[in-house]
Amino acid sequence: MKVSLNWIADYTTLPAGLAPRDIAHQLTMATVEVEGVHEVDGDVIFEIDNKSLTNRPDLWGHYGVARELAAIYQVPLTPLPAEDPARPPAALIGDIDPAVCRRFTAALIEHISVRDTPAWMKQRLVAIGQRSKNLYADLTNYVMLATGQPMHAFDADRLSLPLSVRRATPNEAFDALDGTDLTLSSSDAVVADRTTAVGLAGIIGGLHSAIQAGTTRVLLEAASFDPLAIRRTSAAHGVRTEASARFEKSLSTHRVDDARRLFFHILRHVDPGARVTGFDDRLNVATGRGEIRASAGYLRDRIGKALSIDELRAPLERLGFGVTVDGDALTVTVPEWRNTGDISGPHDLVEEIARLHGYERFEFQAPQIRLDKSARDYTHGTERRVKEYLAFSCGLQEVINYPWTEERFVTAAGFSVDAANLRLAAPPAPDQATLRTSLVPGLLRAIESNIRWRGSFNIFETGSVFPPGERASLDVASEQLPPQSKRAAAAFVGDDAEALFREAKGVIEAVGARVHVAPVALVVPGMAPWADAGACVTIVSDGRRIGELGVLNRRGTRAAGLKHAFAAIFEIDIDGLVSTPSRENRFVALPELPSVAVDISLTYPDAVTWADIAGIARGVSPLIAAIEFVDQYRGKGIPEGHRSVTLRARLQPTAHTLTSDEAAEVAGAIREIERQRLGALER
Amino acid sequence: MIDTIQSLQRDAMADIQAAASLERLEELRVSLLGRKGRITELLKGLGAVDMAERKTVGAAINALKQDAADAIESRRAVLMDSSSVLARPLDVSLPGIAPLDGGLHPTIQMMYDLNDAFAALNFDVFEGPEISSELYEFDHMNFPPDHPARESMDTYWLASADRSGEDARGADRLCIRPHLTGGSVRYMQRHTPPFRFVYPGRVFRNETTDARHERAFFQYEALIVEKHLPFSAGQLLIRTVLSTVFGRPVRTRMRAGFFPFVEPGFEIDMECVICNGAGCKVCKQVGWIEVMPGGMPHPNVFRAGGIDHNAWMGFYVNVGLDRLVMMRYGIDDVRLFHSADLRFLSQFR
Repeated sequence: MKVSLNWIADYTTLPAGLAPRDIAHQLTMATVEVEGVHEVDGDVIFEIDNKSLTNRPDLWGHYGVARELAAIYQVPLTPLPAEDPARPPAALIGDIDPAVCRRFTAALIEHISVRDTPAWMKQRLVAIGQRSKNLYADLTNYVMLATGQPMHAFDADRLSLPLSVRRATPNEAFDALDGTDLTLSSSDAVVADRTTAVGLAGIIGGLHSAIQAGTTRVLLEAASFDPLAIRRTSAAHGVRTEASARFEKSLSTHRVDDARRLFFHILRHVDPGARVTGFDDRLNVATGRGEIRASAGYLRDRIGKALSIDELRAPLERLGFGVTVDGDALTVTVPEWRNTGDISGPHDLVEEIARLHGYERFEFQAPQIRLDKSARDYTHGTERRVKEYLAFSCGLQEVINYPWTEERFVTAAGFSVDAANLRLAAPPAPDQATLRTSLVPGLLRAIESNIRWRGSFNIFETGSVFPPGERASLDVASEQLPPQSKRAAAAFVGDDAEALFREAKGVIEAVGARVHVAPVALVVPGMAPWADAGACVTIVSDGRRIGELGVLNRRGTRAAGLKHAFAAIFEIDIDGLVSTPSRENRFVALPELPSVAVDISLTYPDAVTWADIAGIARGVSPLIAAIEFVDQYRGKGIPEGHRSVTLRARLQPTAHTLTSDEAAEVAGAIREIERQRLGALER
Repeated sequence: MIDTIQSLQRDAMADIQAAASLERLEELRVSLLGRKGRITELLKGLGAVDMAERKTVGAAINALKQDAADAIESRRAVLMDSSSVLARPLDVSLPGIAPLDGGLHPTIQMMYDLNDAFAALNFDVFEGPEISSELYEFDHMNFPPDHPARESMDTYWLASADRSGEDARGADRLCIRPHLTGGSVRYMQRHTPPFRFVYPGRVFRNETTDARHERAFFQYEALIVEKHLPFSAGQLLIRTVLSTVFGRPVRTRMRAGFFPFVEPGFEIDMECVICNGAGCKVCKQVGWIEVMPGGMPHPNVFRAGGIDHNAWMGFYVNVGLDRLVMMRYGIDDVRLFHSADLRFLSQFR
């Protein structure tokens, strides 16, 4: 909203010598944000951020801003010019829907002879960015910009009186005076004459009944509409006007009178021949004056400064509040222009007093910090530890995806998109309506967008997913929320599927020790819908399935744009990790004797797994402390359908240092049992 | 004869100490102790010495031989230690091998920095659910029933399922949370004051995206509730946030601002870190940048949280985390945060 300093000067005389920037600063600090200050043709125009005005309908006109400045600078406020000529009662108003309209007034003005807007008015309108049209349109506009109360002038000869306020009939046509043709619905409110809609209530007038070059009789509407009704219709049709912006904020019904009186005051000067020949006023509900009681102690505690009773009351009185004091108790009357929702209790007075006292005048006070209650919950740290482990220990880059995912990635990951999914009522795009039930589809999207730039990379994401399931209450029984669980998922992208799988597996296997949670186990078969059947395992913690690890299957690689690359993926439920309050592993005494490592290479049929190989070797001798995987080889010298595996037996004696014969004996025993039990071949 | 021996001793020791390479040292060894070496030759000539002097001279030559051998050995050790381990030249201008190539999202890094700063002030960390209801996000937050933020052009409501039909309201009307503040009432309901906690997280708004607007973004909120906490004490939260983010104290100001869930409400501005308050393009010449709203919880919010607003006072701040991250690094497009683009994300290690 633009405000002219010359216009403000009609209503209050600010101290001499104020710099425009100082006025802007004071308004910004105490009231509303001034976004720009422009000096134009001997005037200063302030641009006020409309967002900061939403709760202050009283400020949507120059008089309201003048009142605020007068209070800030402690100077008098001039009463708004007013004139009420004789207004013979006339039946100008029919039915007024109380759900839409709080008050409706109509005045019939005849003997109009002047068409042109006086230069001074034109100048004011143009200075704040308004277009001048004709005298009566400009006059209503001017009054609105002065008082904040929208008005509308009809050509009375183009109306079939009386006017009513009613809901539109379904598909009722309405041609707005800006040339837009609207098709209305029964939730829209219109101002109508006997035959047709002549205005979209509180938003814009109709084209047919607009002031014409030959208009001699004007019907002046000044009304108060319900803010929600105006906002709904304005939004539904995308029609936003100066009027709708004001009515949306909820206006006092008394302002109708201020506006009419100012209108007539100016009218007498600009079109002296015009006569008010009829007036009608329908009041459905009047804005009252509120009353608030507050103790000085309540106010001082929250303000944090020992202000005297006078220092508490003065700012309120400057703003138009009535204050009576009885000892420590203040009884405050809220003026009607602040009583449309803005001021409702003693907490509101804290703000009024403090802002006029000046926020810059309050010294910082450090709060007293108590250390009797350290409410730290160790389970809250699990997600962070998982993230830091994946990022810093494992070298993965964190990505963040939206909680909604394009459906093509959801189905490519093998998940269904159906009625069981939670959906957004108004999604960002039609194919992004479902809320994610897994992080994997988002990772596919991330792979697709990065594979153009890099051939191999490792990424992870943590976040909430919303799998189908029973709703449950979280805080109150009435609120039943769907399941929401915290997951972590990672993708390892590169050109060697087995290496990627083992890398991912290594990350999962170490999670217990690195994240301080109970150890996780990997069991076959895996069940991930996105995994290749030949490379998939289930992740188990504390006996519960908490996730899946596998190599992305062909459907997934195609969707993720992987042509010559593979991805190993895991997804785990972070809530399923059993976090421990502290580190839980025990110290193991260092061995007193040196250990000996023996490497053994044997050739196995492909059906034999490493788990079989190591499991059998492990039991051969109590000297074996560990069986480690060293290497595997397929190709020259190895029969088809076989692989050569090299294992390392780590022998740890406890009685005496091992001789080479003793080590060779264990190695021979391992070879023997591997041949017998698993069909291993010597190379 | 003794003079010759002493002179040779002086020369030999000086030469050995001066030997700059192992090769030179070997030459010296051969020239002194080799088969035709000068000391060896002296020993050979011992037979020609008078019997009376032979014993003395012999002892002197042997002592010389021993000294020379020792000096060569100790010089060899010095020269060996100072020689290179490299078998071939090493190009020190070759690029280093990078450590593990991982990192946290820049917004998450900032969140954790703030969590640590607030943990040091004994703040609890809380997390509310991402799917919440109109009851917590609007009704408890003192939004009037007709507030525009409740409309579907602002808030992502869930499509009607079994429970929440088109007309569902309050606890039956579910959304992905449009702000974090609703979660503060959950904390209030679960705890008794005094308390202080932070509750970072992601929120969602139905918006048209551009370089400055996103549909999903991170916020960081903190709330203190104490017996005595005038609004000026709320600056503790503001100072903690800004000095953590920018690594130094940043001047701030509180000015009037309106939000339904606070009264009094503030807009909190920080001095523009680009121009230090002088006025520049970034701050639109005003020297201040709006960074966070804050204020004292509205009595209706306290009421929803089961807290007596006459007995307790509080202060909220709500920070748009992405915006601070953008300022920290000079990022010009908020949409990059959700792009999952590693060319962007890998810049913040």
